[in-house]
Amino acid sequence: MGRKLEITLEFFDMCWKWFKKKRDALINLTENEKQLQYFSVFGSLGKSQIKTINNIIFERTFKSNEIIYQIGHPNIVMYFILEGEVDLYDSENSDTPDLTIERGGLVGSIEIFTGSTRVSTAVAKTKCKMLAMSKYDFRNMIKNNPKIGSKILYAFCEKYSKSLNAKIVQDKENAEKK
Amino acid sequence: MQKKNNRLVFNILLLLLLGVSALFYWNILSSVIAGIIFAFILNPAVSYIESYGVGRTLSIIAIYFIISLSIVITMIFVVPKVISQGESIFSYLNSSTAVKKAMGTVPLVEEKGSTEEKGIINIYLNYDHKQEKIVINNQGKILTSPDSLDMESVLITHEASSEVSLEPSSNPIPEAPIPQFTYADSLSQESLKKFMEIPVLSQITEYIEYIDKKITFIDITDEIKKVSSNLKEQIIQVPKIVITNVSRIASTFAFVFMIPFISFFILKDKNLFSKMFNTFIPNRFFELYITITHKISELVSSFLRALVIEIIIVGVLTAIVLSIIGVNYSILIGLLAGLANMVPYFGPFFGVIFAISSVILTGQDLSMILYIIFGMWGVQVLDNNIVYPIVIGKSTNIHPLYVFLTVVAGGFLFGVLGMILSVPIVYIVSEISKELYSSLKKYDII
Repeated sequence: MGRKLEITLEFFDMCWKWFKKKRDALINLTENEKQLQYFSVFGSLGKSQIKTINNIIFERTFKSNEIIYQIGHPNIVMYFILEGEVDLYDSENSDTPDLTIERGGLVGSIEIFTGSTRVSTAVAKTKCKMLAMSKYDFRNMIKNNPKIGSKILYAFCEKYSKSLNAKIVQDKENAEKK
Repeated sequence: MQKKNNRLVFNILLLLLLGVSALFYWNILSSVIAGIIFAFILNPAVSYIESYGVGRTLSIIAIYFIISLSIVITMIFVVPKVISQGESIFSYLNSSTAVKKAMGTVPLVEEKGSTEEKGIINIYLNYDHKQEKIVINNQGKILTSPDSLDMESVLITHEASSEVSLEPSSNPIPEAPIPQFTYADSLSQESLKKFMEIPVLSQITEYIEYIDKKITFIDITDEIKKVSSNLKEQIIQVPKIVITNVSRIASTFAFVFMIPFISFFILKDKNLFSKMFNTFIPNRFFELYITITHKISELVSSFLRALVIEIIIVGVLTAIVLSIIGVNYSILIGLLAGLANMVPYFGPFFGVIFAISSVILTGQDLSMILYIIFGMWGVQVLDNNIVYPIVIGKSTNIHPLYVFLTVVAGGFLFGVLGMILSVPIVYIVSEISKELYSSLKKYDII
């Protein structure tokens, strides 16, 4: 009896996955939505889920040298770089950027999780086209769509783990050199 | 320079376009606002269903279905009671001179040549017959004793009261006060007679009359006669009412049906509208704009939801408490008390006044007033200490004197609506101002 039930449930699960695949295949993404798929944090999402994410994303354009956000300001929005380059400055009086992020990169995301104010200043190095997502919409989306939320949060964990790992390896190498 | 001038011209044209649009859509502005408010109230429920993996459109349809079902259930079970209680209280207040005599508002006039009791009138305090029937004779004497109720089997109501005396053995009364029948009355009576001649209906009528004889404390036949004659008159009036008020009816229907229609699209495409507005915000103020709109949305939706939930809870609690006490028209008073509760400080008093008025006007035991005061106080204690903190989540922290003055000022300016809306609006505006000030500071704009 138990085995039969298991087989039936598996069959329904298979049907459901097939249906979702077919449904996803029927969905046509717009240019903006297709661009979202290039970002690593949204890479694991299906077409319908990308459409849901697109609902809470706002497109913004910054001129060259325009300040995107400043150190010490409240953290409300994270930006996904669609076009152009962004310079990050860790201190207010610094003239040289500490980090430059290119197309496909993400700025202002750490503060979304830490809840602190901005820890760096972001300035558009060139003319930039960015996708903005507010922390309120992001949190609501995780709450209202747990499946999408878990995929995105997993992707964020993966991203930060990789960068943390890279940092540890680099520190080790520096220590060995010394 | 040229670019700046072009931008200025574009902005002026855009403002003009907005002005013309505002004029064009001015007449439906109230519907749009109501639709937005409705969407604000429903949004959390839609999001809740959405969290189970249901699509947004399907979630909205599900919520609409639940609301429609609730409305239908309310229409079937609650509205008829409220309407009957409302009609009953009005008919009681506007009832015959006998009631006025009983209340001492009209002097008793001696009938010529006879001091016999004649002109007996039954007055129902409640059409559902759960309340006692008051029997009043032409001398304004109220007969409510068990004996008088036993005699009800020989009493008939208003229509034929002139032919009945309290003493069956007494002589016929020559100059009994005959109720004034209009032409419409006689017309409806004749129509009713012809209608009752249909075989199936006549059998049903006989059966009802049989039950009526068996159950002496309810005048079923009389009630049916009353309802059918009223219905006839109302049906005759319908075309006339429709023709004379066609534009008003059309606009009311449009208003009522437009609200769910508008809110459906606001709920479905709320992000689309927000994206549209966002494009007009300069980068410098973008994050500030997001913060402020989020704050407004949070405050307004929580306030509106709280208001609706409070009305329902206070209304139901009041109706239950008053029903336990035994006050007439408890459901109607509960509904009114719930609505009145929207007005801070004054609202709860209105509920008490409605209940006490009901007791005095319907001649119920005056000791009930004490129970009403205690009961309503209990409802307020529950509301203030359990319902309000749970629903609102936290105290609004407005000084009572400020609330009082706001309500009074709102009342002076916009009447009852001003009294209801003044406190939430002032609260929301003050909170937004505080948030705006602190955000402007944080973003180094001021």
